[in-house]
Amino acid sequence: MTGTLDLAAQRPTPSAQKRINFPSAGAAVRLIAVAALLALALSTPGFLSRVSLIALANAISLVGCVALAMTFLTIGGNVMSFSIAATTSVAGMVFMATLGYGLPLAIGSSLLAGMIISGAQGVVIGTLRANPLIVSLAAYALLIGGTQLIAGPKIEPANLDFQIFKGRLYGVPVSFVIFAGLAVLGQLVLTFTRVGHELLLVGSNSKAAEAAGIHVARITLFAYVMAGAFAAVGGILVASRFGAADMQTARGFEYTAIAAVLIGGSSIAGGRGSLIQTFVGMATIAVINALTLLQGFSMEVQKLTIGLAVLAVIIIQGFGRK
Amino acid sequence: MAISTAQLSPISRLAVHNVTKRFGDITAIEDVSLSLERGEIRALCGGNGAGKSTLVKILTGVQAPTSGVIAVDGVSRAFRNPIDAQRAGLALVAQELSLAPDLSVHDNLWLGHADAPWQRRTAVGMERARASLAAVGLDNLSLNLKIAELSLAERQLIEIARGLIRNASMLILDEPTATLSEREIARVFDAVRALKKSGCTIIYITHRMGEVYELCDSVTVMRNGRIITTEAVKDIPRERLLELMIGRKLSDVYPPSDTNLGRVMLEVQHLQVPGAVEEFSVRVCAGEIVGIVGQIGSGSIETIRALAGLTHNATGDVCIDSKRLALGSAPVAASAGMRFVSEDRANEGIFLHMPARSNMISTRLSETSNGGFVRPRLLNRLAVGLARQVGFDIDRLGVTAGRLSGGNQQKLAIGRCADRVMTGVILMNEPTRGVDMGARAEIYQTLRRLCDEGNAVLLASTDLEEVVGLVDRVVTMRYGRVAGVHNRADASETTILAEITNAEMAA
Repeated sequence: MTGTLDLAAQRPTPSAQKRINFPSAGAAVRLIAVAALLALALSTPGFLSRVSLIALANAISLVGCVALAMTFLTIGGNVMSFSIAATTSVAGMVFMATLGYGLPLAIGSSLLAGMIISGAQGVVIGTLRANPLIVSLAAYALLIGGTQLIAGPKIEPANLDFQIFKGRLYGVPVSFVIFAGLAVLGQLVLTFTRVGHELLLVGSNSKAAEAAGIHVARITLFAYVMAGAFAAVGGILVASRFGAADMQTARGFEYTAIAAVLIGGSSIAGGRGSLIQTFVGMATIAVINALTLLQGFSMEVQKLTIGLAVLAVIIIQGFGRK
Repeated sequence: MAISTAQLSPISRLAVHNVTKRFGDITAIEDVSLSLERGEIRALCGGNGAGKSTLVKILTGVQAPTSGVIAVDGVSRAFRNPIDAQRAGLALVAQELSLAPDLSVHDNLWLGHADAPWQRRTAVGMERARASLAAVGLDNLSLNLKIAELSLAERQLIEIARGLIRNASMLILDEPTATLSEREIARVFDAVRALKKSGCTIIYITHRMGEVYELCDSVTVMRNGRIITTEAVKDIPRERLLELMIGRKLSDVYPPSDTNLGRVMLEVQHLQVPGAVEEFSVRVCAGEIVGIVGQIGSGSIETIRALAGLTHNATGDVCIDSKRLALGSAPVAASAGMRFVSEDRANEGIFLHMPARSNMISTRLSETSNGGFVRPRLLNRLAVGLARQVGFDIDRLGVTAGRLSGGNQQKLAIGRCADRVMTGVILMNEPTRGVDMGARAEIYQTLRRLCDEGNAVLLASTDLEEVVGLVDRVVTMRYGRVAGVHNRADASETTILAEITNAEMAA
């Protein structure tokens, strides 16, 4: 009977080649799509002009910060938040309201506001295992109603210090520099810190993470606090762009943000993805928008195209799982 | 794959010809052939990972075979879905009860029927429901009772009746008695014998030797995805059957026990989990493997989970390495030295969508990071070192865990417990569920090595043979309480079985 041990050991081992090639199928499709988009962009007259590129950079940096915020939630297994754009608006209002006390304090209080608002949701979701979508819907209603009761419809700044965020650095819009910097910073946190690794594990499977002795509630809180801070940066940029802040300034950002996360290729189920991918996703959306306009299509076609792009990504992900 | 007509005749009720099923790189079953006659009760035996459940899924249309043919009454069939299998007369009586507890007996009987009437209750429908209940000996049961109000045995019988209402003439019973008491088992046996008399063909999956000899006409043994033998029950002695199932002599699988014990690593007193564990106490020393055995619902699994901090309402005095441990938090338990290996590998034991490397170091980030920053080189070195220790191919560390076999997945779950700076207690539920024999032997050796490193191991298993072969001490549980404690020398499968099923009370 001793021969049976050998029998088990002799089970066919798969070829190394097959193993390496398989997961890149989805990546190949994505690469082809990006290449096609680039080719289209380069062949469209006016796309590569300085004005057009700066407009592009400006367009993506505001929503981009919100998309980066959303990425932390998605990777952590909490798909999306309906309240994140409202958080952005509130942070913008706090920024404008406290600008009279100096720029550093205004930035600080705005970040703090974003982190508290988002962190509070993280506590509820992490400790009570509440459904993240429902919690964010409740937070959305609370923010919309509460802020307007407390602060009134619109906040005008006490001075023009915010103009610094509308400037250029070596010809590049400051807001874009900040957006790109956030993407890199966030990615470094995700790749090189312990909490970053734990966030990926929690997002991949929160039950397994708990069984492995990871503080799931704390990590979830971390993701929400990071998201709040990133959303607040977006709020500061948006408020500075418009020179005033109200609850409408960032309205609808969450939809573009989740589209950027998904087009970037982060997993809806959590555990896989990166902020750099979201950056690319955001850029893709901006390019699609610019192209449709330059080619003379209407806003409706823009929306339609992005909808199709998201759908395509979901279908690719679905096939990847099978 | 040509099938000669000679193989098909004489026409059998159900025939499986050369069926193979592959999942990517893994071959689940290979070249399986069976032939069953009318009124035959066929025992299907084999350890975990033998391929029984894959065969059942193919027979019931849940999965399509990669190659091979299934023939009913000599006509070959290709089931596209479970409805096709149902229409051909095949029905599965599942191991985990699949009844809806809040629906009535009547509704549960018709649930999932391929030709269930649109109208919820018809006179004909109720008539047939009564007939199928009568066939399994539940003549007097009201159709209006909710399933939740019935005993486990009655539910199991209703599962069988559900197969009958679907006009099934070939039933597959997947360990129908696993959760039942002796007296309840007798009721199920009576029902099965009555079905045999009425001409039903039955495939009876079981781990219990006694049931094979008491109930079945013939027995098929599977191992490593292949059929090892099919013989008439009267022609095969017990010892021979056991050997065929395991595939080797017991001494080849289980490493010898080390006798020099260290200090007390784990001391549990008066552990209680409401609704599951009434009273549990144990003391485990460094270098010792202690096994908890009990039937499902005895509290053995829950005991391990509570000690791992996964049960929020557990109470009791627990000391690990002479330090008191507060129950109810998995991270607290982990940092105190509890290393938990889950019974539910897919959902809780490992990270299926993560690479093997991430799985290996998922509990070790504190060792491989400094001031909150991880050190990739340290991390990789640890992953490779652990892989070598548990016999995991280091070239496959980049492979997504979900694509690995059950044995390799379990190596990841155990590997991350090995080679710790601080010794502790390994807590395991069902250490080798879904793991083939080759990987089992490696896992057992790893457990022994963990003991030699100064750890203690406390495991819960429903696999009696594994417990008897592996552990130094056996703690039996029944109704949430400790029923007995035995040393390796004086523990046998029969004494343990008698203790956990409370045989003396039933007699």
